[in-house]
Amino acid sequence: MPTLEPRPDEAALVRSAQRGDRAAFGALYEQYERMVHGVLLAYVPFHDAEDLMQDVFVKALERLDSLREAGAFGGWLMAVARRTATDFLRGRRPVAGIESIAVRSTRPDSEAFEILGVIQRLPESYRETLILRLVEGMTGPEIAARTGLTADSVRVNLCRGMKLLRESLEVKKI
Amino acid sequence: MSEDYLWDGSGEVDSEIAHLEAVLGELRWKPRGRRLWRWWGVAAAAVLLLAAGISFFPRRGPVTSWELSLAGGKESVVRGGEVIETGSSMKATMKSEAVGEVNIDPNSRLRVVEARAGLQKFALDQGTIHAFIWARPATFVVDTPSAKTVDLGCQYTLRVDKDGSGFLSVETGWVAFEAEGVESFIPADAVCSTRQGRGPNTPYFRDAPKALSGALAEFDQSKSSTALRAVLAAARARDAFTLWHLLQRTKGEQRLEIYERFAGLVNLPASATQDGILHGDPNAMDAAWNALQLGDMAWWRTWQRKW
Repeated sequence: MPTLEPRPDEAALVRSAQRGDRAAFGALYEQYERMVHGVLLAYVPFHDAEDLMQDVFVKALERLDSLREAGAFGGWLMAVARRTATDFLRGRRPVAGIESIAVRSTRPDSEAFEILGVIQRLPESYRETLILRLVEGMTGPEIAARTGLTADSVRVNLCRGMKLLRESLEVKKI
Repeated sequence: MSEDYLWDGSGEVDSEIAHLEAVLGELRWKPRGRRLWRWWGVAAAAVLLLAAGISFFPRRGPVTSWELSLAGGKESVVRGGEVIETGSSMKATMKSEAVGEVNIDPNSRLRVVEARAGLQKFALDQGTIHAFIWARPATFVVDTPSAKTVDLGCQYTLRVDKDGSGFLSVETGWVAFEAEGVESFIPADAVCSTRQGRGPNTPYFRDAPKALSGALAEFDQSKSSTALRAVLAAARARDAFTLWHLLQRTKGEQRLEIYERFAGLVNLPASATQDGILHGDPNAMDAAWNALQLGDMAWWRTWQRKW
């Protein structure tokens, strides 16, 4: 099950940021920027993910006062990123689903975009974990530590997601 | 596939994964040269919000699980047993740093049944809530007159009408919907309605063909074989998710018809035998679920308990 025990330095950073220490929030930004980018990329086109990075951290800063459990920061920030992505997509096209927008809006002008489009069609838990691993270069243990998921869940998501990705790529012959 | 390499880059290099890493690495977040202005953009926004009188940082007060804020009003602590009722033009928001955020629409009535570590249980008697939950799965539970919703890590909207019927729409993650011994697992982009005394109807994806959703509503009401055949005829591969739930809700000839269509849409493993599915064998049903590629049933069982 997800752990709520933060690493000591991170818990101190969260508490300092809550007391108004901007440098501490800056350090958290640097620790979590890859994770946030990866989560956004699971839902929105590449160029929109870049633009939404700042929105996610502004929202996090606005709401940081409501976070009293420092160990929940990673999972909480991940949820803020997901919500920012869904709000963004809803604002653009109120009715359509996440997958269809993300896939249609991603211009397949390189192999990377083609493969990203395939990953964005996978189930949510697989696509987030795969993007964190294959795009952002995070290891399984690092993903578990940052997201609050258990190591077992991350391992299952990676293995099953990779299997699905292989099958999908085979069908598309990328 | 080298699982060790996939897990942490150790062990023998898997050439296919290494290729994907190299190609997709082009899309990796590259903060070089941009980090400063991006971070200072956040800081600048913070200054502007402070100037507007919005506080970022905590007031010192009693530690509580949930805080309630009404539009234009002060925040107040939510206590067990309390009832939150919104008027015809009033909205409210409940927030808990460890659990999530719940927005309550006008004309709603939400009761706090139980709020303790590991279980936050509410009852929505009427109205609409929008839940955004970051607590571990199965922590946030909402009873309605016709079914119980169990959050499995997600964002969803739940509506209860005056007659006690309900409607659930999932935006991200998963929700389990349960009543009268009938369970539904509802993923992002899917919806499910309930009727008092009957439990959840059959869930379906929001983009399902109208021929399917219409016939499904009729079947949930009447159990008519004609309606069932219309559902099966309209089902796409993605709608095998709906057929899996129908398998649980039918017997005899109807279950056989569903199985035949289901097996035509899904690549079933050997463990999902026809005999096992027709007899409701849990192992066969779990294997059939896993073939939908919506997540491993073992994960759901992890969170299964008496709510």
